[in-house]
Order: sequence, then structure tokens, then C-alpha cells
Amino acid sequence: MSMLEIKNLHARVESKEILKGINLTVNKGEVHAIMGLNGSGKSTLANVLSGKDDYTVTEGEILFEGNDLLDMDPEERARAGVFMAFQYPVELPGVNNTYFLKAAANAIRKERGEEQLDAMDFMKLVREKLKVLEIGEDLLKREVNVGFSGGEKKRNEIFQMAVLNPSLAILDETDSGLDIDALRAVGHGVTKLRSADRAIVVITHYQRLLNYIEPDIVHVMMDGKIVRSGDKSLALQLENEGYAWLEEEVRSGLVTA
Amino acid sequence: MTHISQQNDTASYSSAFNAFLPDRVTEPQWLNSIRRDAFSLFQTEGFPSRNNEEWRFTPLNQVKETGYSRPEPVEHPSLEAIESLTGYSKTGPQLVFINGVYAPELSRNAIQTKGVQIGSISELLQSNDEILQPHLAQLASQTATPFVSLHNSFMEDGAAVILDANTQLSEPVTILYVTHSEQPIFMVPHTLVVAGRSSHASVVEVFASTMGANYFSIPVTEFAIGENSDIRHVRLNMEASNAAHISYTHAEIQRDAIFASHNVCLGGELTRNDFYAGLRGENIHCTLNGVYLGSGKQIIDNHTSIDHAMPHCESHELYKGILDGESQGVFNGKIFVRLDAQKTDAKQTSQVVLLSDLARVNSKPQLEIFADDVKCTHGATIGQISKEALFYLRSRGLSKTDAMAMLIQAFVADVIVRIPISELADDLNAMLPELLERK
Ligand SMILES: Nc1ncnc2c1ncn2[C@@H]1O[C@H](COP(=O)(O)OP(=O)(O)OP(=O)(O)O)[C@@H](O)[C@H]1O
Ligand SMILES: [Mg+2]
Repeated sequence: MSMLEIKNLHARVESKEILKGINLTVNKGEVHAIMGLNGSGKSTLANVLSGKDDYTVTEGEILFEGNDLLDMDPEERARAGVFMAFQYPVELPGVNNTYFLKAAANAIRKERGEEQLDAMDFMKLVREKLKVLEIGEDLLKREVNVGFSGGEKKRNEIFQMAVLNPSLAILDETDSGLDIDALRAVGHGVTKLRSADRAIVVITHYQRLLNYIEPDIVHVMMDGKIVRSGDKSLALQLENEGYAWLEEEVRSGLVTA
Repeated sequence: MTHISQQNDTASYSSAFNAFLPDRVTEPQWLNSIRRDAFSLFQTEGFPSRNNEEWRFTPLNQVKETGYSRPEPVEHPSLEAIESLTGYSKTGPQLVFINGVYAPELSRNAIQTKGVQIGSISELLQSNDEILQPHLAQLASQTATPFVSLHNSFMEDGAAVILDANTQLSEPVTILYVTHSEQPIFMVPHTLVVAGRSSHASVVEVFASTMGANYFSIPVTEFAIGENSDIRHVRLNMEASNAAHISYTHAEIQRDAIFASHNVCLGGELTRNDFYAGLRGENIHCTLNGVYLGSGKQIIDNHTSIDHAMPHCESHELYKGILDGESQGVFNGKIFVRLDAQKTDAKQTSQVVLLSDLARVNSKPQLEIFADDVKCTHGATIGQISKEALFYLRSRGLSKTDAMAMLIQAFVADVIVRIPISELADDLNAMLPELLERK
């Protein structure tokens, strides 16, 4: 059974159709990259996967480990092992980062029938992850994402991912706009997660992050569809040559879109 | 039992008053005359009418129409039953009142710090009424509402905390006003805090009930705060869900003093709190904060009034409300800055989160500024829990209920953390999710 199976997915925001028939299968152990120009629908796809209710699915289905993902609440998806690193993480004034993450970790552990982490165990886990990601411990005392720079927010997403230990991680432009240190932290975080029983979907505009975590398959989205899939060389080609050639091919019907 | 008839609102208290007066023949003369004056004032003024701007959003039908009677002696609940009402663990002195009457066997006030008196007003009136005489039932009446008059008419017991100059209490004084009655009774518990020069204490008043009856609580709390003293106050309203609670808190504050009052409103069908702080000297720091949780048909109405009479004083007000169901909140914040009160720094903030479409709030700042060199700011916001924030938490595995509770905790966090008694602040914070769920 595939980990994630998206079949003919159509979705709209208000009356505007944005996803126009996405087909995508992700197996355990695989790393997929999704690339594509601004507005092509990458974040929409990610948001539909995470259960954001601004979107209406009009056609198609999504199976996660054989279960109907669209039938699950956002928290059920998270507990089942789906993690989304958001392109624009929300600020939560007054919510302490450690308190929040401990509640999340224990909600997920409860679902898995694992023991609840007490404060000591949790701090041990958290410190270990911070170290790997080269993040300072002051993060723990801060309010979630409040007053964080763009890079800090992205690092915090990866830190949450590392603690929550998902089976499917979707990273929506976690690498965009990062300085070199933050990129390294994110790169390490993602590399650490790569394993035979997990899958990772990396949405990105750039090759940089893919140098850390080599994708098995690269997809290109255009106007709500995946117009091409290939191996890692496709990402390199897009990095070097841009999208014009592919748009031209799509327009002239060389690609069945 | 002195029942109050339903048809007539103030006249109905007359028979209760006339029946009560003979019980008071042995009380000090000064108090007896205050009492008589208060009742005749109450009779003249009557209950506030709906046309009275100050009472526009406070429906008084329940209070006028229920036949509340004076409490009769009851068997007291156990200490465990009383402690469990409030949740948080309290150490230090504790005065317990059942239906407004002192319960010595449930109280702990043996700690005798030199120069500090903590006791019941009823006992002090017998043993040492001179220390009450300068203040008791005389501070709040300066700015009285009809309910203060009604209170003073029937006042006979409550807590007194008297601090001589330079005394300090290391632990907070807890005052528990517990209603234990199936009958619709009215009670007038009184708290008097007299803080001598450079003294320091924290006082917590808790209003709670062992049963869910409709009763009427009319408390008055008076503070005479001396020069350079530091007095912290928490009032925690956990009244029964059918109860009416109309309170008045009055503070007279002298120069260089710190007064911080934290008003936590959780219970009651109708709650109306008036706070008055008179800043009578220079360099006073006065804080009036509040947090309120409404649900069902609850009405929670807070009126504050800060009177800046002298220069170089600071006042801070931060009120936060969470309203669910068909509940209604009111925040009315008056700030007077008199001609002499130059360099006043006054800040007032009112923030409300509405959890339902039917919940309502009226937030009204009223600034009257006569001095010209002052800094006064006020801001009021009304909002909802952010959908984005809720989704973000759920996307990390938290249930909708837990996510909501976490965001609400976060919203009130800055009011709760300022509560100077950390056990109480921690417990309130921990209690919030449960309180919200129960609502
Ligand atoms: N909540 C929304 N309301 C209205 N329009 C939306 C919403 N979300 C997405 N869209 C629209 O859908 C289209 C696809 O947006 P999406 O964010 O999925 O693109 P993207 O591929 O992630 O782009 P980028 O590379 O810039 O992140 C855009 O035209 C966008 O304006
Ligand atoms: Mg995007």
C-alpha cells in the first residue's frame, strides 16, 4: 500500500477552481519534490492535505495509508502521522512554545497508544532535537512564532517536525528566504527524518535544499496540475533554465496536462 | 424568617430592616447612626432605574423581583467542603463566613504578627470598635450607589485586616464568603483593609456557594491605603450560576503607595462590580485589572473609576473578557484627571473575545481630563479566536477543545500572570480549560 495516494483531486477556494486534477502517489521511504511557478497551486495542495477548511474538494480522493484523508479532522491527520511545515506559520501570542509542543506531542502519543511524556522526558527529547538543529534553547521560552524572523519561524517548524516525528512530512517552501545557517538547520532536520518507513514531500522553488535531501522524484505543477514528473535532474534543469521551456512544451501539447 | 414581599422593591426591605434594628441595640452608636442614615438614603433613592445611564446594561429584575430574605443560622459545611470550592491551595490566614456570618471554627487567624489584626468585624465591634470607627462603612458611601446604602443598612459582619505602620504579611490573607442556603437569601459581607504607612499585604476575597440557589450577594470592600504601603487585592467571583452579585470596592490611596486589584469573574447569573480608586497623593501606582468568563445568559458588568486628584500618579487598567452563549459583558472605565493632577500617566485597555454570535459586549471608556500635561491612553478591542491560530494548533494534533482552551489561556495570560499570588494564578490558569468546558 502506498503511503499517500492522491487521485484526480479538484479543489476550489470560494468559486475559483485551483486544483484541476492532481494525481500523485508517494510511497514509504520516498522523497518527492514539488516545484512550480508562483500561484500554480502548491500551497493549496499542501493545505488540502493538512485539512484547512478554506478549500472545497469538488472531485477526487486522497488516501493516507489506505484511509480516506479528506474524512479526517486536521488533528486526526496530525495524529495519524501527517505533518505540515507551513509556508507562513501563524503567530500565537501568549502561547508558550514548550507548553504547546508538549501538548501536541502527547496528543499524538496518546493516539498511538504510547506513554505520555512527563516534563523531564519531554525536555530531554526537546534538548536533543534543538542540538541537532543548532537552535538555541531560548526558543523554548518564547511565545510560538511571536516576533520571530522569517528564518526563525521556518526553523521552528522543522523543530516541531523533529519532535512530533511524523510519518509523512510536507514542507511548504521551508527553505525560501533562509540564510545559510538556517538552511543548514532545516537541511539537517529533514535529512534526519529520512528513513525507510517515512515519506517527505518538499515544495520548493530552489535546488538548495535538495542538495541536502536528494529527491527520488521531482514534480512540476502548473495551473493546478502536475505537468511533469522526473528524477532529480529535472530540478537542476529548472534551476538552470527556468520554466519557460516547460510552459512552451505544455502549450504546444507535448505534455498531456 | 423575614420574607420580603414581591410587589414593592424598596419598601419590601423596610420590614426586614425594622425587624433587624432591635438586634442591633447593643452595637456602637456611631455604627447605628450610619446604618439608619444609609437605610433612609436607600429608601429615598430606591433601586436605580433603567434610565440611569450607569445602570443601562444591568437588568435588575431578578434583584427586584426575587423575595430575598435575611439569612437564618445554618449548620456549617465542613472545612474540606469549603476548601474544595476554590480549588487552589491556600496557606496563611483564612477567614470564613457562612451566609455572611463569621465561622470561627473554619477560620485560621491565629498568626499574630505584631501590629497586625486580622479578624471578623462582628468580633471587633464588640472588643475594639475604635479601630474600625474611622473607616468602616464610611469610605464607599462617599461615592455610593443605592446598593452601598442597602449594604450599610444591614452590614454586621465581614473581615477586617488592620496593619500598623511598617508591618508586613508574608502570606496572603484569604477571605471566603460562602453561601450555604437553599433559600433565596441576601447577604452583605464587608471587607475593611486599613494599611498603615509602609505596610504590605495581599488580600484575596473569594465568593462561592455550596449550592446552586438564587441568592443575592451585596458585598462592599473598603481600603484605606496609607502612605508608601503596598497592597495587593484579588477578588474571585465563583458565585452559584443563579446568583446575583452586586459589589462595590472603594480604595482611598495616599502618596507613594502601590495598590493593585485583580478582579476575576467566573460565576453568577448577574454580576455587577464597581471599583473606585481615589488617588489622594503624589506618586501612587494603581492597577485595576480584570478577567471575566461569561456563558449561558450570564451578565458581567464591571465599572471602574479612577480619580487622579494629585500629580505624578500612574494608573493601569487591563480588562479581558471571554463571552460565550448569550452572555453579556460590560466594561465601563472612567478616568478623572483633575486640574492638579499634572503628569498623570493613565492607561486603560479592554479586550474581549466573543465565542458565539449571540454574546454581546459594551465597552466604554470615559475620560474626563482637566489637567493639560498628562498621558492618558485607552483602547478597546472586540474579536474572535483566530481561525488560523486554531487550525495551526489542530494541525499539530490538539483537539479543537484543547486548541480553543490553549488560545483562551493565552488571551488572558497577561492578566493572570500579574495576579500577585502565584499559586492562585497557576490554579486559575490550570482551571481555565475545565471552566470553559463546564460552561
Ligand atoms: N485562501 C485563498 N483565497 C483566495 N485565493 C487563494 C487562496 N489560496 C490560494 N489562492 C489562490 O490560488 C492560487 C494558487 O495559490 P497557491 O498559494 O496554492 O500557489 P503556490 O503554488 O503555493 O504559490 P507560491 O509559489 O507563490 O507559494 C493563487 O492564484 C492564489 O491567489
Ligand atoms: Mg505556496
